[in-house]
Amino acid sequence: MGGNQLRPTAFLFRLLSMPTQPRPTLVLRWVLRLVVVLETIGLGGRYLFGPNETESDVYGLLYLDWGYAEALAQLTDDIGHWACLAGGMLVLVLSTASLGRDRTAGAVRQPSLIDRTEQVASLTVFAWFLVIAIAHMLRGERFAELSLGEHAVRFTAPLVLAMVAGQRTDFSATQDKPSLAMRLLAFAAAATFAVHGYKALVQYGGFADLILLTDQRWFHLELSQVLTERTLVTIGLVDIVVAAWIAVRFTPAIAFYMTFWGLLTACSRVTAFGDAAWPEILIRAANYGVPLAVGLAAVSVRQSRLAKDEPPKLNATATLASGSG
Amino acid sequence: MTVISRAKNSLVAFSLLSSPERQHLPSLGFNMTYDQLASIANRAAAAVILAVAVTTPTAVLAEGIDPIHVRVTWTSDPAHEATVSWSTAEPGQTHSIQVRLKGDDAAERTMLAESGRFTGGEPELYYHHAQLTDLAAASEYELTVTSDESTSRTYWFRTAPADSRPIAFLHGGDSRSDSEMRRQVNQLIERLVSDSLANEAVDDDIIAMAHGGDFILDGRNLGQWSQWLSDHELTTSEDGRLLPVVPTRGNHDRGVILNQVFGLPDDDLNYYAVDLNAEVRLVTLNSEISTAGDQAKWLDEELAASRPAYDWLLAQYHRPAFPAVKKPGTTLASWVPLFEKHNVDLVCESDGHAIKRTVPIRNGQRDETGVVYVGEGGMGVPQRTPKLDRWYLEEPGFADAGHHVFRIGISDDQLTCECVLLDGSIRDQFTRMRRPH
Repeated sequence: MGGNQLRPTAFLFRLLSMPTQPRPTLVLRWVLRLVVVLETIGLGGRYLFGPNETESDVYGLLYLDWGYAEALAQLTDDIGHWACLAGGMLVLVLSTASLGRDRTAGAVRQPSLIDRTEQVASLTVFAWFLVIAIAHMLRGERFAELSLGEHAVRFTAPLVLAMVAGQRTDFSATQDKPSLAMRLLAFAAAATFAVHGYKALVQYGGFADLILLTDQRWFHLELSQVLTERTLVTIGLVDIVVAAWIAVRFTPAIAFYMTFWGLLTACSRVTAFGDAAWPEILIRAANYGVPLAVGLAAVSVRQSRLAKDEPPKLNATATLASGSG
Repeated sequence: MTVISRAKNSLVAFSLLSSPERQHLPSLGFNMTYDQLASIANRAAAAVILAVAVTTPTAVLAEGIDPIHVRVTWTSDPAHEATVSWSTAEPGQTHSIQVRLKGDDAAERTMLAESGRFTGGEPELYYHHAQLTDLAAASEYELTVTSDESTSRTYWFRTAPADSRPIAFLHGGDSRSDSEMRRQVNQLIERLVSDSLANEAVDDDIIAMAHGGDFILDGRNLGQWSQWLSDHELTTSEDGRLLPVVPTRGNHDRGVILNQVFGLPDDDLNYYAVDLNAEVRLVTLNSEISTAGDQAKWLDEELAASRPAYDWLLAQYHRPAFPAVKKPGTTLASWVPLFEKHNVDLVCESDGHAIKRTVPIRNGQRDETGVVYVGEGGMGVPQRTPKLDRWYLEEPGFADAGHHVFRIGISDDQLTCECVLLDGSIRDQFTRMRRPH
């Protein structure tokens, strides 16, 4: 496979190829594929073709803060968005193409050209989401210095997908401890929840508005700002606790709670601002998809562990021959 | 930190690293003495320090106790109250203002200022605020400010009228990021104000500057604020005329320094309303805190009380509801329904770094009885290309890019809004008629 690859590329591929990983990794891979596809569509909606499409902080940093020409900043921004979207769509196509292969390939499968292509596509998505996070961090807005943590799930999801896409898959093997991929995803989810928890603890006005506007549009409970801000403090504390928990223990219940909460808060953009805010649900796919991946993988690990610890089951013929019963 | 103090620091570094005690330190293990290494390090450090010093915009060339950055702020009752502020580079002992009606030396009053040190580290800078009250409406006041033994030149400003005479004011935002361009815009403002006062017509006299926020790039950076304050002095005319500012908080104006600059309490929420005359009410809102809670309630009550009492209701805030470039802020959901409910006449927005005037809008579509939104910040920041395909910017709406301020004149039953470019030309102009009560 690597015979005609450039040396740096071969090195990168070896770096991203993990030791043999069994079925939980397949779970991760499929969830992460979905996350990457959705978040790139959300990115496209926000920055390319949505009703309120705009430019990212990359444009702002290059043009407004660093003084490069607007045309160059716009071109850079557009190229990044389109490349990222193309990466996501390639992941979608390759996922579909790999469906039959995963089921019928046999016990062990080496990374194929499709897998390597998925790696490149995922790394493209990873790179652009990371660049956007760094650009946001470098600009002078409130909470900007927390940007890398806040966006951690968005760029970690495609990075881990690139890692698992490059590994040899052993369908028969069991796994009784979390993989490096799971750990990375858990840390990313912890970072994102911790930053959001902090913003809620300091009663960030934007979060208060999500609750208040959702109430005004849908529930009409006439929530007061004081009550809303107190609720935010509670939400923030819970976010920080679950973040700390998932960073050290892959408890499925905690991960699934984070999935639920990430989905709820992503959807709050639409419940607060209306249908035109749909890209905001999708661009936050990692907020709920990454904890979901961690939770499902943790369940799979537990099942593997239980299967490994169980005594072998006797079949009916062996039972009669032993004279038992 | 000034160029001079930075240079002094480098000389100190030279002397410290050259002390004779260092000759007793162990050998470095290669063919170089500590003094040689220190000499190289010193030269490198000094070069870096001086390079930074000469390339970083000098925050303020203030020395000692001389009052600088004299300015006037309106946040309560512009006809009868004003906050006069200034800065000094040293804390000093006594800071006071001497104020009198122009031409009436006998009625001079002296009052002490409230003082403190600006937060945000360097440069060392102190603020002094004098809250003037019981002023006469539509009157010119002369003032001097004194810090210890140092007294400023004589300045003057005009209070807002309390009757319904015609007035004009300027609106703009986003003066951050390009200090040179900001200075040019400030010089334009000075020319516009001076010309309006010098001509025989009184209905075009500009009485204030409503700033839509984003004064600087990082609101916690005192050096940037100091630079803004220095640049703001360019709006003062040669004869000492000060232009009152009605400030708004922008997304880059994070932290407490904004409140310290404009004489507000540290925990001020930065939303309020002022009368520009007896018939014109300007509501300033804060889009950087919750827009849907207490602020929205206050806005609803304020507009409900003001609409029947005033011929003209205007609003200003930072993040646009109908942006020319970005996506809508929470202001669209939180405030636009209130603007439409109470028939606000004109809304001034910033943040987008473009020029825009929407069609009149009501219920998410063009409606001649609706609200017009103008903006979006061109007082220094580089301008962005607007998205002309947004429905509210299509003709008869307008959008463009260019450094600008809006000159808004209100007389009898007509409001005229002009977009004035840096060269003084009018890029866009429209009028709104007074709504029937």
